[in-house]
Order: sequence, then structure tokens, then C-alpha cells
Amino acid sequence: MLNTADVAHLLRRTGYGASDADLQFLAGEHATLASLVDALLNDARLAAPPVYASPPPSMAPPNCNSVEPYFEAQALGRWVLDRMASSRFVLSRITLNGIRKKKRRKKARRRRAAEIAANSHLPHPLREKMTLFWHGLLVSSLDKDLVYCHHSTLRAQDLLFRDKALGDFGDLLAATSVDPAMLYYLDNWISTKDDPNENYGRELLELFSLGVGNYSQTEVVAASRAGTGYTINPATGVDHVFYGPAHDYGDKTFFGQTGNWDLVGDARGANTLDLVERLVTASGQGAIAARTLAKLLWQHFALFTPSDAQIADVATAAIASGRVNVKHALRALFTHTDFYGSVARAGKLKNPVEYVVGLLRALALPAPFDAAQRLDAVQYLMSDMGIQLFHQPNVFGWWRRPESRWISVPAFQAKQLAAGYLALTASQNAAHPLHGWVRGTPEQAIDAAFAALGAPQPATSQVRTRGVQLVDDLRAAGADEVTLAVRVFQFAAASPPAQLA
Amino acid sequence: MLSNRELSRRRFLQALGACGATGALATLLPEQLLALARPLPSGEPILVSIFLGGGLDAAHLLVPVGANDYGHYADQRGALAVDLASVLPLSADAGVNAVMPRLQARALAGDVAFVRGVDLLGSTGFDPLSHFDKTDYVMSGRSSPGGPSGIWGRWADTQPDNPLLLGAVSFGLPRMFSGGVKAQATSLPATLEHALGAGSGRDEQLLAAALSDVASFYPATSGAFDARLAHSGKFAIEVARDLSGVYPAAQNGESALTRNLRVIASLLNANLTGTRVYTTLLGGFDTHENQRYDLEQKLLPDLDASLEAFFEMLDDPSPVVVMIWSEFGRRAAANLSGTDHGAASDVFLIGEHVAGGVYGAQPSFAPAQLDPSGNLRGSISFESVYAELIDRHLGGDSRSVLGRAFPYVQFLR
Repeated sequence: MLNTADVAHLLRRTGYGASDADLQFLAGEHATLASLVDALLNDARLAAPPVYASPPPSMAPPNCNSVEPYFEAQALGRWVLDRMASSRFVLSRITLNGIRKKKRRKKARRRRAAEIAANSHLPHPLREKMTLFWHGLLVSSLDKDLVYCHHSTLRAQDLLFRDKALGDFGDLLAATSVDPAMLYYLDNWISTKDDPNENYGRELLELFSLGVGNYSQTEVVAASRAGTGYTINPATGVDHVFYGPAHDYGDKTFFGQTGNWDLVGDARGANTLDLVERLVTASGQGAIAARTLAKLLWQHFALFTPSDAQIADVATAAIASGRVNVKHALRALFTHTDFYGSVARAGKLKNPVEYVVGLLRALALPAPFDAAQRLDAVQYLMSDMGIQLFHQPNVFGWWRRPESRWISVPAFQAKQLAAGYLALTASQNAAHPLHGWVRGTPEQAIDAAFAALGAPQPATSQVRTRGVQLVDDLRAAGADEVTLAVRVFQFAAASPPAQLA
Repeated sequence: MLSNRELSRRRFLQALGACGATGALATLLPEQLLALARPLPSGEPILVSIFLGGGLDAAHLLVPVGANDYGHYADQRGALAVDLASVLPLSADAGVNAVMPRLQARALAGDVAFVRGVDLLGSTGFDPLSHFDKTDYVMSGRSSPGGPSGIWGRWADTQPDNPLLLGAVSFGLPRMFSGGVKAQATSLPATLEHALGAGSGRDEQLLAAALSDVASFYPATSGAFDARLAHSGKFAIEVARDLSGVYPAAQNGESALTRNLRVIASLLNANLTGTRVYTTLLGGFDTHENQRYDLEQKLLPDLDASLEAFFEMLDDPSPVVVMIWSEFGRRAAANLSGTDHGAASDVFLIGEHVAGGVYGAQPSFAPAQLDPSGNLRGSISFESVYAELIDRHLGGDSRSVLGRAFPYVQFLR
């Protein structure tokens, strides 16, 4: 029997939490956290990329002179938000993958089989969270004209990240290195033997693998030369092609080794040395890449300033197989004692995507789009919260600064507007449960809003009491049912528990 | 593209009008924000920083037209070099790119100091060609930063308590505003339309009052996230209530930079917040490719027009110095259509308090004069610019903020 608080913590960080009944069920079925984490990571839906929901058909071809790409990007963003909001752990599968099979009774087994059948098509929360992680780390953004003009490459990149989100880091990095959106975003498509462009070579080392201080300008130059010739197929504008005449087959010195370094091995020159492989293998720089990844994963899922020992524990597991492996890193992280410690438990804000997904889940709404006005208000507001999907302001990404950056005047106001807009949207459906929230006592209204948001309880009894007073005040002021429901939802959504991960 | 987004914002704000119910006017909230922020005495010096993110190719703005410079510049840059026919005259060895006629006019009036060849000199311990490492070091304003503090954050520590002393009209707080002992910096939104606290609807005001009260349930001194969230909400409501009336209306087609600078001008005109240092940013200067088009067709014209809109809007421009700068310059040699990360760049200062002119030696593009990575060598350290702004403009002691004395450039009157 596990501690249900530990299970709740794990499921909140790897997903969006679970009901009390589900927590009890999981805690009872697993003897150890390691068993639960293994079951979670071995979920078939996580192990193999899900077939769930192909992306929405593109409305517009690549075009630099149209506003369509802007709306295309919003459609892609809504697809990602909806994917995250509809993601579910299939608890029975987690249990079936667990170790205490003998305890299962026939009836329970039938019920769980039905649950699997009903939910197996749904996205896995952890895969979605890791897809977001890579999107915010291996940055390609519509803010670059050429990406904007070839926006379909971002759809492909999103699927690439989703496909390779939890596997071998070298596979992911090699695929990303020749991904068309990335080739455009960091200019590698115009990097040639005669005019090497350092943009990708530098960020590959600085931001995507090793970090500042773990390479020199010599390596940046070598990586840039090794990447020449990896370009875009001019016939389509959206596919990668290797163009030999532009590739630099000359000797380059990379971490002290001189030879014919090649970015991902497409050049097939004599005695080629694969540069990305060198970054991710234990015999190369893999231990450093593993440490970079370990730190970022600690920051993303648990706490912002992990100790060297905490980083080392996860990094060692990540590289144990000889190559950096994301799933191995996650297993070590989610089974680490300190993942369940008081610091990790108290110190994490929802990032803006998680916050908005939390609102959508609370109201069971798809990300709204006002087709008549061509308005995607929620994604618009997300830029003020600090994350607009597919619109990173620069290559730095979203996860490297302390998450206190998500606390600000613009962010608070944007969150309030988003909560109000979504509740108002939901209220247009007369059958939406939110109408029922405000037909009972003030206490019931407040509790229902907090429960919908998955915030266990309004943090303190004082918050609850103040919320109850708000309902009384609104009623005294003559507020109608919709106004009441919208304001109650905004109150709960602004409260600290609804903003903590 | 910006215009598409702005279009969307207007539609969005119109649609959100449905969110706020109307009701009786009533003031339910305490006047705390304005109690802390004091109006500034007339003529109190102001600094407005415009950070050009990504690394400005300064030579494309201030073109090295001198007889000893232009040939090397043109050799290195090839087709990217600004043609002499596209340069507006300024001094014997420097001209302004013709896409910035308003800046040139202001310079001819004597209000612009062009400080050439600015870099972090004598500093080590960082990757000079990394955007983010370099930005952190430049914004920390110390040769060897001992912690995460920023130059204006440390300066603000020496000033009266005011959470709006440093105002960023951009997402998040930049490193230069961070890490002070006191919390003196605030990130302000580009609009407060429909912000909670700004409206007069009775139901909205009741919600604002409730959320303000929630903050009192959390210890004000707690560093925990829940307390910070609660208090930040209360503060955001106060900001909306007190400042929404002075925010400028959105204008059709204005760029994000113009918008942000008009917000700053409006706040200066209203003189409610006591803010002494403002910052905003314009990104997109990391011109590894398409450099000529991006600079000449988009970025520099936007900067030129936005500066003009800002100064036109100011009731009293005399106390304001605008500082335009970037983390680094670009590699001397061009690649196919752009340039890689470089070293020295220029800093531009604008205002009546500025002694107009061109300062600092033009960094040479001659191959023998470049550093081992092929970059321009600077001759003036960022700290000298900061020191002069602190001691001779804002007021304060640059030695305590910077750790030691730095020679002034003498760009102020």
C-alpha cells in the first residue's frame, strides 16, 4: 500500500492528477513507487506513439504574404491544447502492468478491460508533457519569417517530438538536426562549405546538448561545418534533403579529434565521424549531455535548483546503457526520494500551458475558436502568461529561467481573462455543469469550482470563507446565474492552489 | 506579421467586452499602490532602455564611412554592406542608414550620442558568443558577477521603496532589473483593457475585492509560491485600477515596439508611478540570414518610427534619456545572407541631456585588427556607459553599484 499523497504528487507532475478513488485504487495495487512508475512508463500507449487524432488538415499552403499562417498556427496550438486536455492515465492498464496480478478478481478485471477499451485512444499525459518539454527546448518558432511561410513544418516537428519524446536522445537530436522547421529556424539550410552558418552548430552545443562552458568556439566551427549541405528540398520547400556539393568534407577538429565530422551521417564520406553520436554516447560527450538533460528534467518536473548529487543520480541512470536515454532518466527521476521530498512537492508552478489545460479540463471544453470573428482568445492571452505555443520569442526556450517568471501583473491579468472567457464560453451551453454549481448554497458553489479545477481544497478555510462571502455579495448585488458562475470560477482559478502543479 | 497579431488583439478585446457586466460605480479597494509610488518632482531624470535582442549589427545603423574604414567594411560584408548612397551624413567617419531619417534629424539637432565599440572589456568566465550568457553578463554590469543581480536592480536598492521604480513593458523582468535586495521592479502589460480592477462593473469589483483579500491570508513576507501568487494578484488588481485610465488607446497598425513606448510615454506624462528606469525590447536582431532585408525593411524602420512616436507623445522630454543597445554585434565577415554572433557593438543615447556626437573609435573591419574569432574589437566597456548614466543622470554612486570606478564616455551634457 503506497502513500496516496505520493501517488497524487506523481500523477500531478506526470499528468493532471486523479480522483481520490483512483488514487486509493492505485495505492492499493502497487507495493512500491518503483512498481507504479514502471507501470506508468511501460504503458503501451506511452511506449509506442499513439495513433490518436491526426493533426487537423492544413487550411493553407505555404505562403508568406497571407495572414493564414497565423491562424494555421493557432489551429495547431489548439490541437496541442486539446491533446493535453483530453489525455488520461488508463489506471487499469497501469495496474495490469503492475505486479500484484493475483489479487485481481474476475469482475474487477472485466471492469478494467472496459476502461482500457474506452480510453486507449486517448493521449497519454506524460507523452504530451514531454512533447511540450521538447517544444520548449529544441526551439523552432513562427517568429522567423521562413518558418511562418512554411508553417506545415511545425506540424511535422510537433509529431516528431511526440514520436521520439521518451526514447533515445540521440535519435531525437539527429532527427531534430535535419528537421525542416529547425533547418529554417536556425538557418542550417543555407549553411554551405563556402559560407558556413554557425547558428545551428552553436545552439546544438550550447542549448540542445552540452551547455555553456562544455565546448569552445573550435567545436562550434566544427559542428557548423559538419552540418553544411543539410538543406531543404527546393521542390517542396518543406522536406529535408542532403546536398553533397554544399557539404564540407574536409577535416574538422571536434573535442580534440580531427577527422571528417558529419552532422548526422548522411554525407557518407570517407571515414565519416558522426557528430551528433559523439554528443550522446558515453564514449563521447554523453555524460555531459546526460547531466544537462537531467538538470532540465528536475527543473521541469520537480524543482528548479537541483543539487549536483540529484542531477548525478538521474544523469547516471540516463547514460547507463551507453547512450543518453530519456525514459531511463525519467524512471530515475520519478523514483528518486527527493522527487517526493518537501521541496519538490511545494515548489512548482504550473507553466502557462499546464494552467490553460487545467482550465480546459475543469470546464471539459475544447480550446475555443470563434470562427465568425476568427478569434482564438485563449492562445492570444497565453503570450501574456509567457508561453504562446509555436511562437517562442527566441531560441532560449521556456524552461531555463526560474518559474517565478510565470508570476507577474500581465500573467495574472491574462489568467483571469482566460478563466472568465472560458467560463463564459462554457455557460453558453445550458446543460453545462457550471450552471449547477451556483444553484445551491454558496459553500457548494465554491467547493464545486475548486473541485472542477482539481485543487484539492481552497488552500485555507479563510479562502473558502472569503469565496462564500463573494457569492453572497454577488447575489446581493443581483448577479445572474452566468455572472455568478463566471466570477466563482475566476475566483477559484486565481487562487494559489489552482496555479500550483 | 505584427499587424496580423495586432488585428487579432483588437478583435479579441472587442469580444471580451462581453465578459464584464456593467454596474454601479463604486470604489471598493484601498489606495495602496499610489501610496507607495510617489509622483516625481519636475525634471527628475528618467532612463528608457530599448534592448535590441539577438545582437545588433551596429555598422548597418551607424555606417563606418571614414576613408580608413569603409573599404574594409565593404570587403568583409560584400553584398550586405550599406551602399554609400544609402547613408545620411552625420560626421566625417560615420553616417546613419537612410532607413532611419528621423534618427538622423534628431542627431543633427544634437540630441543623439553614438557610442561606438562598446563591449564587456576585461571580463572573463562566460561564453562571449552566447546570446544568453553574454546578455546575463552585460545586464549584470560587473566584470565578475557574484550572483544573479542586475545593474538597475542594484541601483534601485539605493533608492526609496517603490515596487514600480523599475518598469518593464515586455514579458517578464530582464536580468538587469533583478536580484536587488528590495523588490523595486514590475512587469507591466501592453494593455490594461478589460484587466481585472480596471472595470466599473459591480460584480467585477466584488471579485477584485475578494481576490485582494485572499492575499491577506498569506504571509506578505513569505517567499513561497502560493503567497507570491496571492500578493501578485492583489498587486495586479491595484495596477489595473490605478493605471488603466492613463494607458493609451490602441492604435491601428502600431507595432509592438511603438505600442510599448507609447505606454511608457503615457506613464511618464501621468507621473503617478515614480518609475525612474523603464525598459522594453525589440527582438529579431539575430540576423544569421536575411540580414539586409530584416534590418532595412522591418527592424530599423520600426525603431525609427517608434522613437519618433515616443518623443512626440511626451509632454516633457527634457528629463528622458533613451538608451538603445544590444548584447553583442555581428561577425565582421558575412556568410551567405547574414552574419554570425560577434563582439563589440554600439550604444545609442538620445535626449536633451545628451551631448550629441559620435564617441569612441570605430572598430576596424581590417582583417588584421579583428580578434581570433574574426570579431570587431571594442574600446569602451558597458560599465562606463552605466557609470555615467548613474553618476551624471539618474543620481547615485556608480562605484557602489559597479564595484569600482569606470571612466565616463562624456556623452552627457
